[in-house]
Formats: sequence, structure tokens, C-alpha cells
Amino acid sequence: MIVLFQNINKLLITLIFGLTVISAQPKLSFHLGSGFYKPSLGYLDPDSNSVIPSLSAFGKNILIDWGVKYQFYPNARIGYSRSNSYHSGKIGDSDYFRTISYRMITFETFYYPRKKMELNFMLAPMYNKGIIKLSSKGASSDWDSILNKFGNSSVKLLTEGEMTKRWLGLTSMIGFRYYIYPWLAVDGKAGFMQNSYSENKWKLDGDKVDGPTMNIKKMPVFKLHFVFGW
Amino acid sequence: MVKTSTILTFLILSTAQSQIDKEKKDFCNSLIIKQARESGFRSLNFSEKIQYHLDLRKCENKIFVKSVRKEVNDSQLASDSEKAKTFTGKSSSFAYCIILFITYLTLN
Repeated sequence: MIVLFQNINKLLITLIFGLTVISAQPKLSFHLGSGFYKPSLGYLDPDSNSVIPSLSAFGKNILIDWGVKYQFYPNARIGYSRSNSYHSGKIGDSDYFRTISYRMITFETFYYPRKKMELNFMLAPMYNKGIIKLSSKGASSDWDSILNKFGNSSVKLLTEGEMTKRWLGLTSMIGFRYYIYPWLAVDGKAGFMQNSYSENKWKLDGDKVDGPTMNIKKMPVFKLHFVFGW
Repeated sequence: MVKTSTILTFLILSTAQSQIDKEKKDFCNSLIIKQARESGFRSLNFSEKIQYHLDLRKCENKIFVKSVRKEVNDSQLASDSEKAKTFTGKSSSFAYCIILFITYLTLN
């Protein structure tokens, strides 16, 4: 009972400290949330490529967002924001993991039409990254022959490789934010994400290879964030 | 002797009790809480903000604590919205550009 009481006390003190740190930086805010979009993932979804593991709506249409913003002017903020799309599964005996990261430097202006309500306008150049990773565990006969001489039994070794691609883009969005408390708000945004992606020149262990033919040139995006701080 | 010690014990206890009562009252009306109510939460510095939360936690009058929190939050929200009620400088031009750009993207 005493231990439980001490733990609750520690938790409370940590929470108060955390809240105070956030509130102590009124010009700094963090956001967490998700986004919805509808990309055409050519050869990265099971419909166009039978090798790819089954893909749920989470892997195809949902983005996981986080970011940090700093208010440098009464009506303007600058920040860094990320929207990630994940897909994982199995290809044969290997684990498959695909990430598309939309990484933004955000410029945002805003005003309050009414108390607690904010309209914001965001423009964000992007430097995006796609990663396709395969990893598997298998026995190596050469390693086994050495290890056997040392008196070991056979072992399975992890082998993995990933192919990556970077490309530029631009996001423009209009948002509405409602402040529940001075330190907590809900922010909804709608707009477009434009990408200069081409399937050429993916990198795999230093080699240039062709990648999936995703059609992500212009996509409508909707986002919902919880904003802490401010 | 017994009478004297009883009186002494009573005096000590009553003094201690009045001290405790005084401290209880102080948490609810501490200088930090007064400052937050008068000048807003953001007027407090880092250590004062910690003290503000601790004072509110120690204050036993929970109805008062709730009202103080609401008052401080409301005044802060009002002050924030007042500061950014209208666009200033080039921020409106930036917003118009984005509106035009999104309209263009929607139509094409």
C-alpha cells in the first residue's frame, strides 16, 4: 500500500513537472495525431504485386503524425513535422517492413476569429524518405563448420537489407484549432501533399535499383492532431 | 505541576494548530496563485509555475482550486485570442497565398 502511494506520488510529481515544462514554453508546442490520405502505391500493395503481404487500411491510408512548432511572431509559427506510413508482414521466411516518411519544415500563420478558435494556414517544403526492408534468420554452413570445430551447435544468423529513396515535395493546408485548455488543443487540417517522386534510383547497398511506381504526385490529405504546449 | 504541564501542552497544541490552519490558508491564497490570477499563468517563471501547481494541490478547498484553475485558464485563453485576433504584417499575405494555392490545386 505504501509502495503504491509512493508510486502515485512520483507519477503526480512527474506529471506536474511535465506539464510545467510544457506550459513554461508558451511559444513551443508539440503535436501528436494521425492523417488520412489515399495514395496509389504501385507495386507496393498486394493488388498490383502478389509478393507484397496483405495491406490493411492502416498501412495504406493512415499516417502517424508528430511534430514540434515554435511561434516566432504573434501570428506565425515555424516547425518540424513528420507523417509516417507503415506496412509490415512476411515475404516467404523474411520479415517485410515498409516506411514512407513525409518530413516537413512547416511555416504557419494563424489568427483567432473567436476565443479558443484558431484558423491556420500552413505551407511546408518536404524532404521525404521511403524505406523497404527485408530481414530473415537462416543458417550459414560456413559459420556452422567453424563453430562446430569450436564445439558449438549450429546457429541462425540475421541477414537484412534495405532499399531507400529520398525525394522532395510540398504540402499546403488550412486548419482549424480549438483550445480546450491553454495547454491542450485539437487541430484539424485539410489540404494537399505534392511529391516529385520517381521510381528510379532507389539505393540498395550502394547500388541503384528501380523501385515501386507509386503515384503520389498530388494527394488530398486530412489530419487530426492533439496539440500540447502553446 | 500537573496543572502547569496541562496548560503548557494545551498552549503548544493550540499554537501548532493555528500554525497549521494558517499554512492551509496560505496555500490557497499564496502570492504565486494571486499573481497567476492577476497577471496570467504565463507571467510566472519556471519555478513559480511548479509552485503554482503545488500550492493548488496542497490547498484543501477543492471548490476554490477548481474555480482558480478555471479563472486562470479562461483569462489565459482570452489573452491569447486577443493577441492574435487579427493578422499583422505579412502573415495575411502568406495566408492568402495558401488559400489561392489550395483553390488552384482543388480546381486542377
